[in-house]
Amino acid sequence: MDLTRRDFLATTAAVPIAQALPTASRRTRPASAASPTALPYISLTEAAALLKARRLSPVELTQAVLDRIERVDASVGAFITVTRDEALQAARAAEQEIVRGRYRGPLHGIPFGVKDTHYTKGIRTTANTPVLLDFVPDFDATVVAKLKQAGGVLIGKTKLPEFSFGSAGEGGAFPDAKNPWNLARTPGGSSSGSAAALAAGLLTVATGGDTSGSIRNPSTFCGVVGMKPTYGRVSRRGIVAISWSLDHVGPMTRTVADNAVLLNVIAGHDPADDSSSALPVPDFTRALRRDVRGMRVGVPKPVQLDGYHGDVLRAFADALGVFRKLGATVFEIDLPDTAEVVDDVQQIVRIAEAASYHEPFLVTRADRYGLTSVRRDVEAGSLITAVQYLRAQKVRAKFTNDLAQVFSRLDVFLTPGMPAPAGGRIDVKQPFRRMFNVCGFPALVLPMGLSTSPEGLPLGLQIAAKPFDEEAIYAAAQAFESATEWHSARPPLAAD
Amino acid sequence: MPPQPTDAELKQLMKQLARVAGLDLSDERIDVDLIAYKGHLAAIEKIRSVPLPVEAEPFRLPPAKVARG
Repeated sequence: MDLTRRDFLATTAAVPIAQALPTASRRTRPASAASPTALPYISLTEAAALLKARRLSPVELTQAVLDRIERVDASVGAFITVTRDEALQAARAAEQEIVRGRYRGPLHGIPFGVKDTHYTKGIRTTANTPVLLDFVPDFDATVVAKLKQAGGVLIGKTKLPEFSFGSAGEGGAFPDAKNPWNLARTPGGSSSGSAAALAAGLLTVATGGDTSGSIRNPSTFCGVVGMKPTYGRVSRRGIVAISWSLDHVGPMTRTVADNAVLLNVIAGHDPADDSSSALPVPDFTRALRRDVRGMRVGVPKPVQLDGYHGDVLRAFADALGVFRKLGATVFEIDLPDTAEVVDDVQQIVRIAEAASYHEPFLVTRADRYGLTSVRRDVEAGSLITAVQYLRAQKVRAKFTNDLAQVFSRLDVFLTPGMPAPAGGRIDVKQPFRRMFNVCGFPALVLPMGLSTSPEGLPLGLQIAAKPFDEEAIYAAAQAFESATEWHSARPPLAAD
Repeated sequence: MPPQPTDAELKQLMKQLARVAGLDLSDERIDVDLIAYKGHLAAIEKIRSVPLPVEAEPFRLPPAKVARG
């Protein structure tokens, strides 16, 4: 016999949700989860505690998120597909399991979204291109399968520019998402919909893809936490590719702790992905309790930040002050000479591999591409010779080894997440984004401030580390988040 | 250093490379793609400026196993 939601709640003490929240949560965000209208902004960690204690129903949480999507997404446009019926069905199933004592873990009953590059069995996966408009995969991407296995509730597929090309743009099969902090500004990209949805309270957690900074760019612009894990940490099976050797999949959340929990779920070896690492996956949440006293924090020399927006530089200086105050040792480092050409290396590797991926589309349905630069770029990429591609790969190897030498002297490396707030000038000499796709080292961004000119746009702090040392990143990120309030800031439409 | 090819020479080259790559690009497409191809060539030129020993080998996956600590 199926239990109703009333039955579910009747099995628990009638404790108001706000009373069930951890003390710290009540202190920092008194309104959080105190009423159904606050549920869309509840953190995974808070929601998981309530769900496990049966003080919140997965159906109630899912319904609150779906209701908000109904109310707000017409203006934000974060989704390509909302899987309303499937979500409610999954939420009801999670509710039944939890009430019967089969709690699966912190993702059980949690609403999540994935970028519309992730294969979803029986649900169209468009990559926002007319080329794949009718594509319905017959299997789930490994990441999606893991999230479902953990009991997560798929809410929908999020926006991106056509085929994940570029940081933002129109001309794909659907209009791009808007930035919830200012609907006239770009949310960044290419994981634009995931970041916008989190900022607008339309998802509890999400995933994205990062080939040129596509998790970190929109996470910065939308004021959320985005992790590009080490290459090989998270399976790429069932993800529409840009460039196999540069593509990464990673977690996007509103808090650092949620991010660590989500990476715990999606990380791990996948025999179906040859580039997937067989290294053991630690419990990333343990790193959240680490002290950063004595941590060696490398930062760029001021000249390497030439062209960065004044608000970004001020917030970055403040962030370094926080780390010093926490007892970390902050020092400037020299980047290897090869950093000068690393974005060129990334460009050639990316477009040559993309051209190979797109070859069948260019031959059989070139006329179906959208009104973006994708067809142009991959056609031109098809003309790169093998020797030119391999030259780029040789320089890539040198850069990776050079950077590993530099990183051997530090625990984490800090830079601004983006050179300017959303819509500002971002074509600086050293943006510090693509280099981490080239070498595959992990890098996360989290909120570090709000701009003053223009007013009220999120600014991000990037934290990078050695390969497979995401724990150092989470330790530093959690320490910074705990010492600041930027993660609690919400866009004006949060009140809608 | 050889002189920079003209746009007309580049378009001719693109047409031939495309044919070898199995793509039948129209003159209209070549015109559209030219700017992207020139961008790729500029990047390749910068990459070529990095001195490498003859023993240098391309990047392999997974990334370098750097010792932690």
